[in-house]
Amino acid sequence: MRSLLLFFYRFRALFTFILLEIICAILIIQNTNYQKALFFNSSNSLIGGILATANNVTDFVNLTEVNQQLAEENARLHQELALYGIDSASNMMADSTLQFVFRTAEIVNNTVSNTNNTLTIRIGSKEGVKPGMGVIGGGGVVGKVRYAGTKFSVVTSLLNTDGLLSAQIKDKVALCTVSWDAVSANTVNLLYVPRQYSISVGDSVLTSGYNAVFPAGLLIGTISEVDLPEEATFHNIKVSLANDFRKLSHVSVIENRFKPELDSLNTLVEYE
Amino acid sequence: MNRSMLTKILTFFAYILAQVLLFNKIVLFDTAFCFVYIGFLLTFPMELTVISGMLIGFATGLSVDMFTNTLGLHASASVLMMAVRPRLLSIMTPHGGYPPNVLPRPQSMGLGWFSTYALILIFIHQLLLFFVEHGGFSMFWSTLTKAVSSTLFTFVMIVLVQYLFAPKSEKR
Repeated sequence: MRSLLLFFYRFRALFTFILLEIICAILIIQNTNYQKALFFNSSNSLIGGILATANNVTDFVNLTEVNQQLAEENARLHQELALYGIDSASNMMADSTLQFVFRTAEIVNNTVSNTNNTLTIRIGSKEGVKPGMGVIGGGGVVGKVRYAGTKFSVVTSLLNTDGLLSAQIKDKVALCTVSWDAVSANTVNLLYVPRQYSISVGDSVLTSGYNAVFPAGLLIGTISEVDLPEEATFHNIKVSLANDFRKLSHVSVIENRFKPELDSLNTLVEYE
Repeated sequence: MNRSMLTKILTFFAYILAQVLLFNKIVLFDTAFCFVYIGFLLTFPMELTVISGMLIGFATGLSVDMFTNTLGLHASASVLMMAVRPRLLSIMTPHGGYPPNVLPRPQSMGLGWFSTYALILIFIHQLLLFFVEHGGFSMFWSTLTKAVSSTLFTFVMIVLVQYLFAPKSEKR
């Protein structure tokens, strides 16, 4: 016993080192998991508060840009409304207000240069935000809520190597997958588009209806590069994102009211 | 609690706030990051034991992690760096040993000595940080480029902070 204690005492530095690194490894692994929300992140009101205060100072500098973005988004929405005609628009509104609830929020912190980027937004569980909800910006899809604190939430950005998003190419391919390769903040890859489809640069990539997070048909980006190697099963497609993630200032959080029902139906089917 | 301890605690908060509110937003060409908080860890007294060094590194890294939602990432890199530090200090001992009551800072040890000391430690920190952040060795060269450019950027900023803000006197 004594020699064992002496052994531990002799190598105490090594053991402290191993212990601390194991704690870090556990934290890193837990952090990628949606379900295990830890208290120590920027959705914590103290940390979120500090970031928000700093953001208030720099907000003034960006006001012109934010106005510009809002004006552009307004114009786009007006155009869409005109396209659908007032009648069908009001029908659609009734439909979507039934299923989807939108809540706007201010971004207090945003990263685009890491491998797993996150945004911190000033809205939380007090306003009804829950982990797993979709987040969109002026131009299109931004990400998914990872943690919801009482006043702040952390959003996993679309610029994240962990996440995949189910998508469609407008009028062409019903189901494909968007994934980010950590190379550039402006482009993502589009996976699993079979070679029989003819894809051209400029096609719009939208969210598909096969997910319970985003409404179908939201813009993700436009195709900027298509490559089809000989004997490849799938196209290599690069999509330039509709949102400029560096300049985002406000986002909307989407709640799907049918999600619990969809989820319970899915589990029913799984157990059959 | 003595005066030097209080100063160190205040310095800690200054470094963390500067890091999370200012330096986290400065990224050059999407590759060079600036982790100026490493400077706080580098300038601890030479006699600091390995264990307390690692614990301080852990706490500092974790504080930065909380703001960037990367819990454990900066902490692991800082613990490794603080584990290597005493060994490096003993290898780099000048002829006749270190002068008494001197901190590892460019003003007291000379810019040449400090550059070797800081660049080696910062590079170890950044290597672990970026490879763990990327989650493996796929895209090896781009991750290595990030680590090297961030090491240089961080080093320049740390030296600047040392000359601009740290007191010139050697009392502690």
